[in-house]
Amino acid sequence: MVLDCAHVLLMLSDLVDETLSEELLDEMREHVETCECCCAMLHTFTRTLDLCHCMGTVRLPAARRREYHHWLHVEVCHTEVRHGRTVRVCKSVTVPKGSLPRHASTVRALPAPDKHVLEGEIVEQPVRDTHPPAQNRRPHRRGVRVKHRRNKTQ
Amino acid sequence: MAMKKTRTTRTNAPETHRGFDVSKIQADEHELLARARAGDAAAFETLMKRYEDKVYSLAYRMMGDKDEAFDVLQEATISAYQHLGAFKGDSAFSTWLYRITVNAALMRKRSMKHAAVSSEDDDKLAQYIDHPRGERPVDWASDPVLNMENTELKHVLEETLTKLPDKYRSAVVLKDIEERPLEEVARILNISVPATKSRLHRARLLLRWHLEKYVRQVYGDRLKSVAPARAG
Repeated sequence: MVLDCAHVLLMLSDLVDETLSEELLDEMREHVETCECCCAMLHTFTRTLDLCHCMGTVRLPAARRREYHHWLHVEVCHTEVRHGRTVRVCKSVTVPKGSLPRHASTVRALPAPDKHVLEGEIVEQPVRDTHPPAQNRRPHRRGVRVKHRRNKTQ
Repeated sequence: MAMKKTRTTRTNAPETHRGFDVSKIQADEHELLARARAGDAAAFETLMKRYEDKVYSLAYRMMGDKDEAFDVLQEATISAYQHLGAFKGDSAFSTWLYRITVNAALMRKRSMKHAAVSSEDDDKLAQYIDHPRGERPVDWASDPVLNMENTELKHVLEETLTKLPDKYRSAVVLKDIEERPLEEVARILNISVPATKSRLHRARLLLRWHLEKYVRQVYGDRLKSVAPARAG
């Protein structure tokens, strides 16, 4: 098979990742060494990947890390020794999905668990159903409207 | 110019890493995992603290925003906690956690109703692959200004990454930024290895294409003076 530029373009990743057979590798090398376009393409493709490799891991900022550790310990999982045995106490699993705290300021102001799940209650399994039982739900306040008085100063 | 070897392949995990005994760390992780699955919350906490940076980093690359990344970290933590019992240990804990993180990030993006990335780029790329001679590539990598220390280029790359369609971004972030092996990336994304390779290749070409577009716009005049890359 005679390699052309289109073939090289399709196999650039294989070339860079070194997953090509020796035969194909030699053919590609031959082509790239004689083709300016493919040579430029290979150089810039490799440079792009090198730049990606340089991006590295983004570390959690110190303040965020403290916040996360606090949240992890207090809200997600917390063990307490009760009656001589270690028990797992879950809190955050009662927080409805989608209402997770967004920012540092709101993490500390997490809503208290629903009334039927007391803070510190022992939960055998993480509670998946985030809705309180029907008897504990607040009735909808239908028909209640608050009249706003107009400002008479106008 | 002789073609130089581009990259060394990833070798198996060394016996020691930065002075730490890898096998000991792995055994410790197995023990922690077993304890966490048995209901030891402290063990789960320790495990999550070990992976917090990696999960946050992946979330940040997927979301492109630090606050959103923190939210994804929290969501992934809760999800991992809730589904720890379902983890069978077929794959490494890190692979499982990465998968949860990618899913959490994708769910979050969907819930945020992010404007879908247009397929315009994909179409252009397909056209470009079909007709590679249409636009002559510029060897900007030979320009000494556009070297590896060029922060502007890195910034553009980060921005470009956020513009990639999700399926391409997840592949390139896991393979080329987080440097996970290809098979693991396939497992995390729950797709076959050939499909992963295909996505990865398109993602890489898209990134290169965007960088070149930027370089042409900003350094167009400079590049005219750059000697074409000659092989041999």
